[in-house]
Amino acid sequence: MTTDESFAEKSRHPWSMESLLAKAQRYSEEMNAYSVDDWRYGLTSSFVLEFVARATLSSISPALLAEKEWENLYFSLGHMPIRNKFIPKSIGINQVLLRISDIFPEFPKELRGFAEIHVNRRNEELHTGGNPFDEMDSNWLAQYYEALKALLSLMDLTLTVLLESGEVEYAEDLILKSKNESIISVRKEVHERKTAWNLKPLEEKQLLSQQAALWSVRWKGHRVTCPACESVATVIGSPTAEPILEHEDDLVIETLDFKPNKFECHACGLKIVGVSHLDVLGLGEIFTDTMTYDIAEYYDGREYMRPDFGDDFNE
Amino acid sequence: MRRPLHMTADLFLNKSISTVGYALIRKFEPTIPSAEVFSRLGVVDFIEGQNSIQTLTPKTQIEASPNTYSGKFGMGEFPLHTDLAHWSIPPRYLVLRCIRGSTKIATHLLDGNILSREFGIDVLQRALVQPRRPMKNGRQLLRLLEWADDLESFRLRWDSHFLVPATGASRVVIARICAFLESIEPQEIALRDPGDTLIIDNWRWLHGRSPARAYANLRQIDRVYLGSLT
Repeated sequence: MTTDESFAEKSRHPWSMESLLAKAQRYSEEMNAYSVDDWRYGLTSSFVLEFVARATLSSISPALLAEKEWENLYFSLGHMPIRNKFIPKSIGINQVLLRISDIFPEFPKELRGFAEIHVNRRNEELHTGGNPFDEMDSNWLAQYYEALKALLSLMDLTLTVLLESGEVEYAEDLILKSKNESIISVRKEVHERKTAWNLKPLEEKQLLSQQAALWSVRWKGHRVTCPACESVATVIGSPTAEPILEHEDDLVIETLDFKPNKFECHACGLKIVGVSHLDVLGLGEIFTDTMTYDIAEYYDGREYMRPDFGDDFNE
Repeated sequence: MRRPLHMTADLFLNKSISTVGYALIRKFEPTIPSAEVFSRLGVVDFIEGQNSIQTLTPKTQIEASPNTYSGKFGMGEFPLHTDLAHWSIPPRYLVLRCIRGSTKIATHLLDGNILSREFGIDVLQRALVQPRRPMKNGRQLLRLLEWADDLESFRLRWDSHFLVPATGASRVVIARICAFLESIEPQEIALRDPGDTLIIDNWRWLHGRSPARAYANLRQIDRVYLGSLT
């Protein structure tokens, strides 16, 4: 009975998850040298966020960090190209975040949006005379902690890997407070739209509702009832996985699950963006889109094998 | 842990390592060469720059190379440590086999789980260290405690000589660990007879050595690292 194998390794790849997480840890401690309203606190936090994002991608494979030339991929696999003065290049942070969103559909789009803005503040700090870290809104720290928490969870880790218990408690409190403020703000928006809608003449409301219903038929999305005016509205989302295909006679039925990220009502104008805001209205659940195609139309030009045969096998 | 009669030697070894974290087999095949014995115990982990089997004899500081424990501590006590703690992945199992023993020189052992209990897993996972000297990848950042996903096991590293704290917060934690270890009495095992073989989970147990001034020239231990046990 043999135990699992592990052989000693001298050095860790600089693009490995562990290397990147250790860097994030170092910068996270460095943040504590400054007060929260010091621009250097914000600047250092952007380093932490970037290292955690890169670690997340690297947790699948360091190869996902390699820039397009083959030598970078070769380097990511643990080899050193012989080209003179080779400097390994990894992809930019925006690409990192995009890839994370595509690989992990559970990573909220709004947090990706915050992460992009926050890390690009670092670029503005380094490349311009602007002072982006002096001008951040008061909610930035809650979003920062929420983004860190979400990225770490994709690696089955928690904030404790970066923060002491007191800081974790503070971070969780900030996140909760921010969510509560979101709830209030979303409900206020709905209330205001509802009030404005109720003041419209009946004929105008009927016309707007009919137009909204027509619009929702034309465009892709999930049809729901608007919480403000009760007209037909649309929730739009991003796919969570590959489509499931079923075949019936000459038809192909494609089923695809979507994680909602935007709500729009063309009758009263209510717009809600972000899954956490949609959750407030009970519109944040995954929805399923089913499309039916003619088999010839679906497989136009593609090789097709009847699905009732098993895998190819040499018998 | 004494081997029950019904249990084969390798099953006993695996059970002892997986539960206790080390195993001691007295007078294990003393007439058979170490290389053969080690290959029966598991798969040898070849360490870059070292012979597959290293012969350990006590040395004075002058006799030893400065990049070794003997070069720092000579015939004195070796503090508790895990081997190659400054490597990104230290060897999993350490095997010490007595060729020529001594009852006067003991191997010290301490279960590293005691550090997790005393300081907390989170604290150890956040403690950052670096090798004291640059290696191939510069001075890489390492954590005292890491989770090895592929093996579903924690990996502890500790070496107060070859590792230095990488941040201010880590410096505080490491100072506390050093003080704690000073206060603890480790287990002592004397490899006294030829064939006495001690197998240690190097990711969990710390080991050290008592002073070797008396009878130093009598003791010879063969050491190997294993990547897995049979």
